[in-house]
Amino acid sequence: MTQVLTTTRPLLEVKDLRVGFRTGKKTILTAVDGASLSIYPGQTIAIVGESGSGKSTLAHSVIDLLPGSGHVMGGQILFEGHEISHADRKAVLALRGSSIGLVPQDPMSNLNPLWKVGRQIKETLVANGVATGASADKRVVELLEEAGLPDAERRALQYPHEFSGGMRQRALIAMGLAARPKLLIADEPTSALDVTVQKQILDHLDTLTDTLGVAVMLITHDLGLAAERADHLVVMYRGKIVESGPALEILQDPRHPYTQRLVSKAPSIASQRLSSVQARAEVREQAVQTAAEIAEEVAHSDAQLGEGRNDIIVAENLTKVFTLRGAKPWEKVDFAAVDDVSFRLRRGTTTAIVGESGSGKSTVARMVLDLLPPTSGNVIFDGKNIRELRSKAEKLRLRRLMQPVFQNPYASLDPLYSIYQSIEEPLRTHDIGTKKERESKVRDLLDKVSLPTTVMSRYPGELSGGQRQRVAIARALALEPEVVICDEAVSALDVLVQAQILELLNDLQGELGLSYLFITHDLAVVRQIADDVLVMQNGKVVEASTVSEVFDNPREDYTRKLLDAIPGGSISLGA
Amino acid sequence: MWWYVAKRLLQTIPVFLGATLIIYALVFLRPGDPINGLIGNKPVSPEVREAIRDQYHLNDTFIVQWIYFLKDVVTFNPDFVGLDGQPVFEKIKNALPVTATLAVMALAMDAIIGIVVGTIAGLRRNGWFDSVTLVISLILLSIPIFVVGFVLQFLLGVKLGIFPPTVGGDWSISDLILPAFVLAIANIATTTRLTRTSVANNLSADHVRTARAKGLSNGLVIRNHVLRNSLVPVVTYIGINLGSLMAGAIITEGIFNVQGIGNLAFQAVNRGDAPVTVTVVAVMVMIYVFMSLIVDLLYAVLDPRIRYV
Repeated sequence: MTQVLTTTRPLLEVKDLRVGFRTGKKTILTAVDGASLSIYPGQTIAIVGESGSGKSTLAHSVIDLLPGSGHVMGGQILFEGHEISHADRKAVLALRGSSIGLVPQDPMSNLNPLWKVGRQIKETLVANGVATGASADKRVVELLEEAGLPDAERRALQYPHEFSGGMRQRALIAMGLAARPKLLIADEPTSALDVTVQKQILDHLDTLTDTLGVAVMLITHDLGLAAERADHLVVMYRGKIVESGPALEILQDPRHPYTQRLVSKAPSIASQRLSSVQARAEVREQAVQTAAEIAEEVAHSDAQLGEGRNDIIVAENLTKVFTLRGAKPWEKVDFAAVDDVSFRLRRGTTTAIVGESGSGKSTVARMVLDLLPPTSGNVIFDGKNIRELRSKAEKLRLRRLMQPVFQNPYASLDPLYSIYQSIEEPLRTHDIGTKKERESKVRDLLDKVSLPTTVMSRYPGELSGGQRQRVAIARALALEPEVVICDEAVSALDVLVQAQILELLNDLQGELGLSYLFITHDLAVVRQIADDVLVMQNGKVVEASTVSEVFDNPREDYTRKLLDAIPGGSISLGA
Repeated sequence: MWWYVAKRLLQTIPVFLGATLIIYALVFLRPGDPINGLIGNKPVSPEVREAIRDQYHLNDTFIVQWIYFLKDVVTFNPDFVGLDGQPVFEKIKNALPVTATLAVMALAMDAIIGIVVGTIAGLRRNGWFDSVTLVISLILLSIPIFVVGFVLQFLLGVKLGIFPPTVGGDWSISDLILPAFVLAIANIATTTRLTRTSVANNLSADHVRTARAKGLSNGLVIRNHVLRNSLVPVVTYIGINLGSLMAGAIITEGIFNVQGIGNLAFQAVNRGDAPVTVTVVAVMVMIYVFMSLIVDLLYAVLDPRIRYV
């Protein structure tokens, strides 16, 4: 009888929790507004929501680690039946580590750079009274092995900077589970990692928590990932829990409009749908037609740089070798970041370059943009070898025709320039139009990227990530380029915003006949935007084909691995 | 790392040559005849004057003078004398210990007071302690060192008699407490601000939150994950200071009549005594260069991410 009671009592119960941040003397920003949920022993639940939805705040309030002025304003947090939201410091200390573990979001910043990894895990054991001295050292090695880190004994004596991102995350998992907590809070544990590493880590975490019977509170912005990993989903939107229930049920029958949007737009799931393929085909048809008209015009004009060819960019055997310092101070080691890469970008289409970090995809983009001279090989832009463009005027014209959009909209806009200045700057640099004409052009561009003209006088700091990326796109379009190079242009954005930006890019391509070179690590978005795909690994192209070929009939193991790693890929949806 | 140290040591050669050449040029361009400074207003025959000029190579071009100087310095010639006829190395040997002691004491005060106060202020950012420290640091930074020096000398030395107001030739450690404090004041203010900002930044670092999540007590978190991380930039700053403290001792040594390097340099400049001035400055430059090398190496000890090759 008692056994039944203990197994049916929830491990963690959050009742009507309200968490606020003091932003002024009297003003309080409510980050979590009346959230309730329960986690049973051994259960995995996922909290899904976009950035700012309060999902991390909810998790941090459970372990009493709210940053700065954050505080619980109301409601209850019960852990094993005891109220802990207003517990004293000692009781909270006793809970942390030993009862509730945390695997934080960013593996790069969550390990102390000055201490050896083993020591940082040992600290957890000592602080929670699990083990001390030599037995703790032994346990650390076991824990690291358990977290799937090979050669753990040597690794324990290394510093975090000697670890890759995936290895650091494994160390953090070992740390979170070191004192055998009953509940593990995993706060976006893999969002900073490559997809294939993400899959490995999550698979491992799954097995580990299953074997140990640990309950997991998984926080993620990716619905596909959540549904794949958790049996119970909690969807948060603007501080409120809008929907919760069994994962599959929510995916197949979302009730709240926000969840419905999430389900229809999340790239990991959308990429499974045929509808996105059809939509893409329509865009391409329109784009190719517009592009052909532009090509015709270019071919008959003397003022233009190019010749109006069908292949707007041809990369021939691009190679970039960086010289690194060797083991001895006088030694030099050659490192081929990009090794013999060739591809064609047809007018009005999108070629995606996919690969993990370090595969050389961004280096290719920089060489195509003429921002980095290739060690060997050529980039031919519309029949002109860009290496042979000598005069300044010709180089300027090339810059006009090829514009980049970068990954981080927070870093690629000058924080001291107003939006108007940012978009107008390229026009001014290239001496286009009068002041009046430039202003109307900026208005026009903002309209194209669906931003109100009122943002003109505002600064990047006042805009959201998605709005900023729209500004970056408007800036890229200001010079009426023929090619836009998107280097991870949607990777830093929330799923819904990501979907909007992809839609915008598609619309603009159809309308303006643009050609895109789309660099991404995420195969999930490829299907919605690209026509041809180049899969890169360690500087080499391992597979080059059309999108449908790559998705339906991948030839290489590596491509298959990337496809398998798309979260939510295994979930079949009715629609 | 040894490769790096060797490279840095090799770099000191051009630094030494360049520094001495520039200072030699400055002393050479200084108006007035050094002989006058030497013999004062006494009448002296042109023959004697010429003899002295020859003795000190004053008739040669300044490059030749500099090369004579280099020869004496590099070979540690014990007969290498200043314009007053006294051996230069002997003088520096006598003056260096008191200045070095003064600078090290000032450095210790700077480190201890600055780090302790800065850490408390950083841990309780925007509290009353932090605000009071801010005001005091700003006051200390904005008052010139000779004002603070004279005021403290008058109050603590003359009026209250807690410290001896002047040091003189026969010094002991306790005599140097007040001068060292005056010397350290501006640095203490800066160290406090630096430590405070560094600690406050580190408190909100992700890895500190992770450490708390591990179940570490507040004291352990601060000691293991906040303090050491915060001290990396502070130690660099304090280390570099030793050089500037020795150089900056001129005013303090003047106020408290400390017979150290600063006084020696001051007198030599007044006399237009090129050998002494340039040697003293060269010693300073070398100390500065070596201190910055030590700081750079210390940096690598504190932060394992830094590796020199």
